[in-house]
This record gives sequence, structure tokens and C-alpha cells, in this order.
Amino acid sequence: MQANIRHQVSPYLVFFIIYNSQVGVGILSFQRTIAAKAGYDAWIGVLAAGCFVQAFIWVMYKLLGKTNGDIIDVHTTIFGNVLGKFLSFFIMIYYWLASVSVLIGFIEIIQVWMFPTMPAWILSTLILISVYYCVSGGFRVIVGMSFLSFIFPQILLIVLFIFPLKIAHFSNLLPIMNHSFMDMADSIKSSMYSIAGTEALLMFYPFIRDPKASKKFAHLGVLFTTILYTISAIVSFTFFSENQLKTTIWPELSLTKTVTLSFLERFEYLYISMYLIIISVLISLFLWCSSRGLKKIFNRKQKYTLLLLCLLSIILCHFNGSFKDILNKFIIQMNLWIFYGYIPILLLVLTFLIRGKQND
Amino acid sequence: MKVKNEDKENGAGSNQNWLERLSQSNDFVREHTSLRDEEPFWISYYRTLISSDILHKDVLPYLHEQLPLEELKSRIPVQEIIFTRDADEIIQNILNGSLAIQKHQYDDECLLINIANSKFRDVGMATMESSALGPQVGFIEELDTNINLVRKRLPVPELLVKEMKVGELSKTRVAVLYMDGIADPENVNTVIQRIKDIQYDHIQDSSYIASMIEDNSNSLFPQSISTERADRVAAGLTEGKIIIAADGSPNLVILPITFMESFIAMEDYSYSWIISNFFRLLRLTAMFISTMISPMYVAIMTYHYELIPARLLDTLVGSRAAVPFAPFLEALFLELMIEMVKEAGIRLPLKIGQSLGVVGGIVIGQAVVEAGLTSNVLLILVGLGSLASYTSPVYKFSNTIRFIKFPVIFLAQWFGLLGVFLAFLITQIHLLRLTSLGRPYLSQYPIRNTSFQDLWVRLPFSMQKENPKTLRPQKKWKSTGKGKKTGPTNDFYE
Repeated sequence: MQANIRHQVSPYLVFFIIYNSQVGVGILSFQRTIAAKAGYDAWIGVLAAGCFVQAFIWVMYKLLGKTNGDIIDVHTTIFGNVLGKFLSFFIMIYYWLASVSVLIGFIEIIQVWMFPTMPAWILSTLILISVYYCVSGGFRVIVGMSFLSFIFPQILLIVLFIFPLKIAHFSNLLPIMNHSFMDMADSIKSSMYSIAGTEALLMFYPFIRDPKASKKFAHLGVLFTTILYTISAIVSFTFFSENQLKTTIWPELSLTKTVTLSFLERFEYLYISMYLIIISVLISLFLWCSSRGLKKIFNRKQKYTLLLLCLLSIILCHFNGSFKDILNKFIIQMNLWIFYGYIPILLLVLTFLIRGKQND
Repeated sequence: MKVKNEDKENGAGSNQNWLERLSQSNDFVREHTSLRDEEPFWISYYRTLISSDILHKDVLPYLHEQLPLEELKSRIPVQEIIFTRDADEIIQNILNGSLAIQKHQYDDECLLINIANSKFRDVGMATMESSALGPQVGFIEELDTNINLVRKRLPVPELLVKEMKVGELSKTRVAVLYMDGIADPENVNTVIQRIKDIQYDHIQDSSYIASMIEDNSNSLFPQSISTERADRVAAGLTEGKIIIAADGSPNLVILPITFMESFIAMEDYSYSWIISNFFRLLRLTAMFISTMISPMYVAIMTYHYELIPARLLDTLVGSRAAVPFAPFLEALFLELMIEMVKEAGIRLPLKIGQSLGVVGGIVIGQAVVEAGLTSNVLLILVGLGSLASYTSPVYKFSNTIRFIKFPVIFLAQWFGLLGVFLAFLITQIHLLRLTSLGRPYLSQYPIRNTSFQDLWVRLPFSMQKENPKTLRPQKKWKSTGKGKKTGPTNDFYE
């Protein structure tokens, strides 16, 4: 079930896809959510969440390696055509909702920080037009954009961690591990949402030229993002006091205010605008997964499924306020249950199924 | 020699036919030569196409004797002589500057002697792509001379030239040049097939062909390089690129290319590799400045003036305190003005063009600021941007840079910095989607180690070991030797 070789990408590029799928709006605000209960110890939770994602990557490679296709192929092998496609449909809906949640999060940031009066539908339409253009170029274009969105803005943004370090209090982090296990578990759970995204692998696996060779790059990608998130958390923790952190909605954006150059102040404007690139590529990846899945499930052209998803996204983006929180909670639950509950079980089922067939 | 065996009557009819068709023009000459009237030769030609010098010196003296045409053919000291009865061939050759000789007035057999008068300008300096160092020679409007210039630089039998005729009316000779054994045969076949598929009345320039065969003709970015430098063509050939040349065009087209190649000047190879890297970086920066600077001004002055520190903002606001327009109109007005000056400078005769640059650039610019229609700062920025747009060594590409800032200015007006980055995003996606002969156009991605030998950076010659992988060359390695220096360079290394 491998994709056409002309559409496949080199194994090392998986690093950039994984990286890109994990970094979204979450990194701008997760410092607050993870510290809600675990306080300054929450950065350990991020590391722990990274370990879970590493394990999840291993599970996905095992699962997909058995059928050499995407999740839809896995489902159809186990459950047959109808039930398999029905189950896959839910995962496609997850991809779509995840992209909508990123889109809504980013639009909220733009409205709060840059253009308070700009209506959501204009922003979502703008972003989705570029997303449509990106996705219609095929998977290789999305991977190329992932690569560029890593090279171009993010390298610059990592450098920005240096500015707040001048006034950092590393003693904030001490004493380490003075929170209860349940508090830590809560911080792990909150960071799981920001660090989620690797599940896109379930769809793009057939597009990797040599999947076995790509495995180490996937793990490396997760490692890189985990370290990035951890550093970001530590920088915020050393910069903000605990109470301040709880009231700062986007700690990372507030951090960028420390950047002052002789020709530049209020760096967050540039930061948010640059984030447009990262966000658009992330949405492109998820909408590609979703629209490709729907194309396979319903035998429609990807053009139409993508257009439909884009239109629905624009409509959903118009609901703001409590809708966003409900959506986010829903996605967090869905993410945990589907990818950390259901997929490992699926792997077990598939393993026994194949063994059973071999014994026959 | 082509002799077609047609029956006599048919031939006689076609003879009449071609004579009739050609003699409708007043510059068509048909006369008989011999002093004796018995059996004179009949010669026909276009007065405007032939060289009368050759006619009188090399051809007419042989026509006094009575000889069969075959005999005549071996005697006349001109290279291209064809003996034929085919009417179409006769017409075609006469139109290309041949002289037709017939024994009798209504004979079918014709001796066609090519005495075409090819008056072209001499091979001169490359004017559009000038360089301080390195070869100065530029191509001219004649195909054979151009191929000659290339062949002189690559005197190997592997350099192949495939010629074909394109254009229903112009019948332009188009040549495809490539190195056999280096260029990817798939690329060569694609190019030849696409040129053969062209259906158009006239081809005036090789750029016609370039834009007819490029992958995406709706793109702003040129997917081929038109060059007038023989060294660029020869260097491209050795890497496995394909060259298209058309008769009557002083530009040769190089295919396939990548984005970054538009920032490479041949002069880079004349300097130390460190300095040439500096220049490449400079050109790249110039492109960013040129496309981004006035949109950034519009975005920041309209929406995000907080970005600018207070002291700098004082200067900015102070300079545009008297300006009655919004930054958007101000920038658009000034950009359009500069573009008009540039355009007029190109269209006008050389001498007037120069003085116009002074009038347009300095006088109007100064007056506009003094009249309070635009701010000083913007004038500096726009001037800088327009200067920067001409740093690209490829003329077509610098036109792209010139154009591309206008849509970005509009986006900046509507969405501020977000619009500027949106434009960047869409351009990136577009460049990623773009291909040149089916090969990826954007050179950042996928990463190839060859692009760090001579594309993004230029390493010393000893380290440029591979031909660019994006071209899929058959010959992967350049023939680089170690280039060892003899003996220790100083006492330290003894």
C-alpha cells in the first residue's frame, strides 16, 4: 500500500514533519496550564510526556509496519471494509478538529495581540487559502514547508530564549520534586496536549521512502521537541513568579517582550506574524491527513474533501468564547483515548490476528 | 543531393508555380546570364537576400561557359550547393538566400547556391550581464556564431547540437545543446519533445521558446535563465544543463535551473571563494530588502508603530508629519514613480535615459519631499529597495523582484505584518510547488550536499567535486584533481 515513489519523501525529513506536527499554538501557552497544579516542577512533566510520545511513536511504527500502509489499511485489515472505514472516520474527524483548534487558538492570539477588531472569518479564510494552496501541492510541498518552517523561523525563535535569561531566577526551580504524584500527573496530562501531533504519522507513513530508516528520525524529532518544550518551560519558570505565571495567558509571548534592540521593540508583533508560517504548515499537515483519509474512505477527490473541511473550519472558527474551551477539552480527551488507549490495543489485536493467520 | 523523381509534367507545372509565386515581389530578380543567346543560364534570387559580392566574384564568372549543371556544381567555389527539382525545396532555399540556376527558362532542374548575405553585428561585449572580471564576450543574433562561441569553449565531440525548425511563418532555426554523457537523457528528450510540440506563427527570441516550454507559465518566477554570456552557457553544459538557442536571438536559455542560481554571477568564480560568498549573501539580502522594505514600512507605520523604539519613531514620525497621505498611498505613489523612472530609462535612447535618471531620481525625488508629499525616510527606503532589485545577475529575475513588492504592499496595508508574512508564506509554497523541467525549483529543499559546494556557498574549486544532483547528471563527479602545490609553503611545514 506504499504511495507512488514520486510522491515519497526521504526518511530524514520525518524529523521535520514530526517537529512541525508537534509545535503549534500550544507552545505559547502550555507553561501556564502545566504549572497550574505542579508549579515549578512541571517541566519534569514535560519530559515525562516526551517519553510517552516516544513510546507512542514506537507503537505506531510497529502497527503500521505490519500492514505497510496507513491507519485506514490497518482498520480494514482487522475489521473489514465497512467497520474499518467507520472507525477511521473518527480519526479523520480528530485530525480535522485538531486543526480547527489550532486555527481558533491562533486567531484568538491575533485578535488579542494585533488586530482586536478583525473578524475571525477573514483571518481563517486567509490562513485556509494558503493552506489549500499548500495541500493541493501534494505531500512533498507540505514536507518542504515543514522543513522551511523549521529552518526559517524556529531557529531564530530559539535564540530568543537568551534574552529573558539575563533576568532569570534559576532558584525558582528549587526545590525539585516537592509536588505530589497526582499534581505531576496533571502536568503530564496538560503537556500531552501541547506536545501532541505525532499521530499524523498514522496517515503519512506510506509516503516515507524507507520507513524503517525513518524511525530514528521520528524519535529524534520527538526528542528535539521535548527538549524545546522543556527549555521553554524552564525559561518561563525562571522568568515569571508562580502567581504571575498563573495569570499570564501566553507566557511565551510575554517573554518576547524582553527582546529590545536599537531598532526594534515589542518583538511579539514579529513573533506572532512569523508564527503564521508555523501554524499554516501545521494546519496543512492535519488537513492533508484528514482530507486524504476522507478521500480514501468515501472515494471522493481530495479536492472536494479538502474544500469541505476548509469551509467547515471557517464556520467553526466563528464560534468563539466557550466553544474553544469545549473543543480543546474534547480534543484532549479524544487524543488520550484514541492514541494512548485505542491504538496500543489495536497493535495487540493486529499482532494476534497475524499470528493466528500464520498458525492456520 | 536530393533529386526527386517526379514525372516531367508535374515538375514543369510546379516550376511555373514557384516562379509565379516568387516573382510577385519586386525584389525578386530573374535574368539570363550568357552573352550568347543560344543557351543562357537563368538565374533567380532575391536581391535583398544575397551577397552581390559573392555573386559577381564567385558565381557569375563560371556561367559564361556552357556546362551541364552537375559540372557547374563541382566548379563553383561555394560550399552549399544543392541540385534539385523539388519546388518546395527551391522556394525554401531561395527564401533563405540561395541563388537558383536553371539551364533553360522552364527547366525543372535547379542548382541552388547559397550565397546568403548574413550581415550581423560583430560579436561584442555582453551589455546586460556585464562583469568587471572574466570574459566579456556576448552572444549575437546569429545562431551559428553563438554555437561557435560555445564550441570554442568546449571543444569535445560530446557537445551535441540538435537543430529543428519552429514557427509556422518564421521557420526559426532552434538548436538544443547538451553534453552527451553528462546531461540526463530524460531532460534532453523532454526539451526536444516540448520544442517539437510548439505551434506558433513566429519565434522572435529564445525567450518565446523558454516561456512556451516552461512547466508553469503562470508563475512570476522564471524557470529558466536567459543569458548572453558564453561562459555561463559553457559552465552550465558541463554540469549537465540543457541550452536552447534560437536564430535571431542574442540570448541562450539554460534549463533546468533552481531558484538560487538567479543569484550567481559568473564573476563569482573570478574571485576568492570567500569574497564571492560574501557577494552571494549580499544579493540574497538585497532581494529580501527590495521586496520587503516598503511593505514593512506600510505595515509598521499603519498598524504596528510600537515596534519602533521611541527615539527612532521620533525621526520617522517627524519626517512624515507634514505628509497628508496614509503610509500606503505614500509608499505606493513613490514606488510607482521609481518604477516609471526605471521603465522610461530602459525605453528611452541611451543618452536621454541617463539624464532622465538624474531628473527622475534626484530632481523629482527631492521636490516630492520638499513639497511634503512623501517623507524623507520613505524616499531613502524606496531608493534602497530599487537599487537592491538590480543586484540579481539574471535580468528576468530582477524584474520579478521589481514586480513582487506591489502585491505585498497591498497585503501589508490590509493585514499589517501578518500580510507581509502571509505573502512570504504563499511565495514559499509557490516556489516549492514550482518545477523546472520537472526538477524541484527551490534549492533549499530537498537538501543536497551539492548545493553547499556551489550554490548557496561557493567552495574553492578543489572542493566542488560533484555535479548538481538536482539535474540528475549521468556524470556525477567533476574531474577535479587534488591540485597539489609542490613542496612545503614555508619553513613551518617543512
